[in-house]
Amino acid sequence: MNLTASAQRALRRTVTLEDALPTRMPVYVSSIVYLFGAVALMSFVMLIVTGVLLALGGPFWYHTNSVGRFFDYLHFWSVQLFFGGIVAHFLTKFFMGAWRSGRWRTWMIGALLLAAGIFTGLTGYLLQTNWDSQWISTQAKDAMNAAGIGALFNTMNTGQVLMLHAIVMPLVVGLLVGVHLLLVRHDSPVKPYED
Amino acid sequence: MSTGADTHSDPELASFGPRAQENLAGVPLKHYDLIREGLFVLGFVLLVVVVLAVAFKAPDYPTVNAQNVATLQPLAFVQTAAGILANDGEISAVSDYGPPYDGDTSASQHLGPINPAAWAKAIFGVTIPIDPPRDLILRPLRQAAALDPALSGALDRYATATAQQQSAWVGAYRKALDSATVSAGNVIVPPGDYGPVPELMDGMLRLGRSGLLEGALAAENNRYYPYTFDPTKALLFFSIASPYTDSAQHLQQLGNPQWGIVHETGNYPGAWWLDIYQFWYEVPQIANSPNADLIVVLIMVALFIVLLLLPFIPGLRRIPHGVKLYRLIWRDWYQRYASRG
Repeated sequence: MNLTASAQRALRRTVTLEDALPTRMPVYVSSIVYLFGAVALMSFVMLIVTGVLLALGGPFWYHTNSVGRFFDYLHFWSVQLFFGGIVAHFLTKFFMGAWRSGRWRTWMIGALLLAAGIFTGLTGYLLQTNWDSQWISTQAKDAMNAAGIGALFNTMNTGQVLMLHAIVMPLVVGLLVGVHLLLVRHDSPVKPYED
Repeated sequence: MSTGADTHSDPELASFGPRAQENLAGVPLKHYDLIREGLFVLGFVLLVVVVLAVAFKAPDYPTVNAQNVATLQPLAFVQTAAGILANDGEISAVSDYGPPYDGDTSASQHLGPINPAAWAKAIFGVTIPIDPPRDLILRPLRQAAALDPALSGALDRYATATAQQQSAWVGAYRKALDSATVSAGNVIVPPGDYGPVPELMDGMLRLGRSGLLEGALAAENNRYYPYTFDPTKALLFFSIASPYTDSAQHLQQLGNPQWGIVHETGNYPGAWWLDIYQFWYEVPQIANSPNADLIVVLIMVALFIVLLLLPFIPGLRRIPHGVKLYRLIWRDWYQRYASRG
């Protein structure tokens, strides 16, 4: 058995080049709501780019240097747009019944993405290392501890928060985004309801 | 259909995968450029973010530290330190708290048999052990005593006293703080039998005022100091005591009494996507419960499971069909294509 040949066949069955990079789209894909997911995706790109720049400069830089401050502003507003895109995307996909015809996997990965995004956002608030972080870390610990999560995740442990926000969670969110997009393209856009 | 669009008989449909071919069978197609659309949205996002950043900037208020509180509110600082020394859960954030700070699971939040903190303790143990009087007061003072022999004597006297005697001294001192006065930044209590406690508290106040308290907390029992990525003890010192929020308000928040993850500092949007989480804390029956956090966590977990499994939940999954908002989203389709079958 040739594993590489099997992988090739599986990949070909899963997503063709036209699936992945479509030059044609069903005519019912004709509404601004189809852009909400793209807004979330591109905001995520902005978060990665500004996040990398903030990581390169480090906390002292983004607290005190005017260029660092500006990238902090960009990161802050990218978060707002990211969640704006996600919530708009979720609401419209709900009202379109987008899980129909076997697209439940895409929906469930989307829900997991929302949860992962929220946790990433929390670690971001904790990582600001300012008054927000100080207040939120001491308040949020109680819910974490009540849920038993506090045994492993300490909102006040900045080192742990740093690793989660800058490395682990972007990988998790990035992976989920990849799977979500793969499923979206593999399944093609859901058809309108037949009234 | 005579729409001018291609149908599945178009050979180009063959370039889609089998699943897409099946789903798009009979559906007219239109020309599309994924990368162009992606770049357009990226440009839009970039523009919006840059405009918002330039126009509104973003908040970055400095922290409130022991030096701030000790300088601005010396009496409140000493009341906090004495409350921690007394292991008073009303003042000390993690006294009588339970896991992960101590092993007393009777203090952890629970609902009947549901006690995740106790379960986590059974599996992982006490992962962040903190003894507030020892770790937040006596050990930092022991470090400060290296520069102050009188403090060393007071610490020795306190350490060699019985627990009952310690408790009596601290209790009497805390009561006396109600009628204490502040003179030149020092807290002065009426004469009484407080043992070495006034010296200890004065030592704490000086340690706080000097700006060295957080350093002492970070250094204790840390064999890897000066590498310290975990300010848990320093953050816990004031976390539920009023001086912390009062000082913060005095320093940064005049006219804006609320802040937090949902209420962002200043006039900025916070994490509004957590409003639904915060909402439950506004319900009095939940807010007044000693298990409020656990109740809210369980509600949110239940709501998330509903969201996750929504495609399979009868009734809920039919809501979109009942609401018919999709007719607005796909209005072109219903006007131009659907009626033609």
